[in-house]
Amino acid sequence: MNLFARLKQLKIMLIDDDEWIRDAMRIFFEYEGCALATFETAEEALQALDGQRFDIIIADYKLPGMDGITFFKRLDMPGDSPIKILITAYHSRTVAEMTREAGIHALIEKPFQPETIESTLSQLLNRTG
Amino acid sequence: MIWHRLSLKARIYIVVAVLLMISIGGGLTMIWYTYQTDRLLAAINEENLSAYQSAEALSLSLVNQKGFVSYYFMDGDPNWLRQLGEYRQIFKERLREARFYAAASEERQILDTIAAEYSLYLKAQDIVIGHYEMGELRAGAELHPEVRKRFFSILDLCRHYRDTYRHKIERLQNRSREQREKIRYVAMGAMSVELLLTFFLVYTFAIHLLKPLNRLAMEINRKDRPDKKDNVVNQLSAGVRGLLREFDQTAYKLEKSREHLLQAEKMALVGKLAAGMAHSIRNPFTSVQMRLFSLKRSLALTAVQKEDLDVIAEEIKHIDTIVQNFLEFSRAPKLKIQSVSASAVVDLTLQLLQHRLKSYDVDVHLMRNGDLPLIRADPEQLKEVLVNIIINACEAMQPGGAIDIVERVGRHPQLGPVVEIRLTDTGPGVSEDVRRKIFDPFFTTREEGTGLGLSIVRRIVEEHGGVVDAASVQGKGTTFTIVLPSEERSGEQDPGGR
Repeated sequence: MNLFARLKQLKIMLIDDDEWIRDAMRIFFEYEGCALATFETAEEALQALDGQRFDIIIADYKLPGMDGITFFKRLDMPGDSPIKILITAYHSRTVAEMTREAGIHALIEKPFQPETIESTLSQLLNRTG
Repeated sequence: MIWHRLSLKARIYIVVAVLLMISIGGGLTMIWYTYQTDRLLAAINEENLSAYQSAEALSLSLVNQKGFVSYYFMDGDPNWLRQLGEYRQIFKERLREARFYAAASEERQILDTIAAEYSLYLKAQDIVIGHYEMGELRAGAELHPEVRKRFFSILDLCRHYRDTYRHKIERLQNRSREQREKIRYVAMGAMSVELLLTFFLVYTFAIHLLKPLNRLAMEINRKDRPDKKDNVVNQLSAGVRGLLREFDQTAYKLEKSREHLLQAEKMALVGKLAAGMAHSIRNPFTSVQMRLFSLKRSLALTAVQKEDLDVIAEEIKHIDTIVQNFLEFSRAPKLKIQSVSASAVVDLTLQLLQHRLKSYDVDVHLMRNGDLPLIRADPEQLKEVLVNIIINACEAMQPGGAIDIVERVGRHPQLGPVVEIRLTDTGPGVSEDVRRKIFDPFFTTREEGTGLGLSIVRRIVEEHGGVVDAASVQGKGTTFTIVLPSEERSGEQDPGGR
């Protein structure tokens, strides 16, 4: 099945403190007919998650306040866990190790191409079925 | 006491000087004594002995005259008188001889008395003989005892004269003996003093020099286990040489670690800057790339417009590569140290670069004498070092060439036992000016270069406690030499441990 056709049925969230990235990503997803909920901080995202469930969560590593990895660790909730993707402008061995330890499914380095997001998502969706 | 206030040197000099003086003084005394003895013996031998002998002969020749007048009185044979005349002549000659030897006035006086007495004796004898010749036997016999008395008094004088020489010789002999005894005592005394001083000297050497030297040598060589058969001075000088070498190495290490620390501080700052910069640059890049994608998707673009967008995307990638390299360069590599042979890393690198080497048309010749010994290193980081150097060479050699890789073990003056990897390319080489700056960050001669590849190389090698060096002959090629400490030394401390 087409990636975006599947994505249309899923709730997707992006946490990034950079407004331009939030806008660009929203435009990219909306163009394909998918909704993308965006948040500036992890704290805001946690508030939103309190009442509703998201299937895919994309978070930046470096955020004001709580960082992306800590956020994902906090997210350890029962039942179906969402697909977790970390994006970072500062890639290093340490970040890669921490990402693995936190049970995050994928790590994408900035600056990324939309194609990278696409291929990562389709891989992860295929794996989880 | 003054003696205790003197320095060891002064004390030893004084003792040696005294010993020398005793030896030379003793020697001179002996020489002087032999001359003295010679002179004494000569005196005894030549003059006194001859004088004594002549005195003896004088007595004998007088004794020989005895009896002839009596014989003549008994048988009247004139032959006795003739023989008497001969002996008289002999006596006179002996007397003359004795006069020749008599040096002292006392002896001359005796001889004069003898001569005077003898002439009186002769006169008296001649009167007696005259009486006998005339046949006046009674008158002769009456005078005869008188003559005999004179004879004995002369004989006594002669014996007395002889004895003066015997006494003289005896005195000289006694003097010589006394001198010999004196010299014996002096020699014995000198020997005792010499013995004492020698003991003192040996004791001083042992206590104040050899013992401290020994202790020092033992302390210095504690690690090196010196050869027992070797003498202490050799041991000590070997030890001091070792100390100097160690000092040199320690100073070098200290200097290096200070440089390292300074560099690390600088790099920590640069690292923070780079991280901040990466974050601020990569976010806009991400959004630019997303927007470009959106543009391409939503607009019907001409081929030229499409190409423009592609170039923009490519340039963004290029800038990002620079940022990436800068990040890598500024980030202190956290070494994952393990025991590894550099040969294994070389093999891994060549395998990894197989295709790229082919595409650059570069042949690699590996010269290896068995695998290099184990070193403490992070194989991933070492691989990056080799990749950077090889790719650098490949780009310098376009369109193709060869790289010689020589592996060997050796000894570095500061690092001790080391392994060495030497990579020589057949590229155009670089000028001395360029060579000096080749490891500096952001120094590049290529348009697409970031100028960070070789500075990362140096960074990593230095993190491993090693040294990297470039040598170049323009028109012939460039040689990079990587020197890394062998395990036996670097095992003491983890070069990446910080």
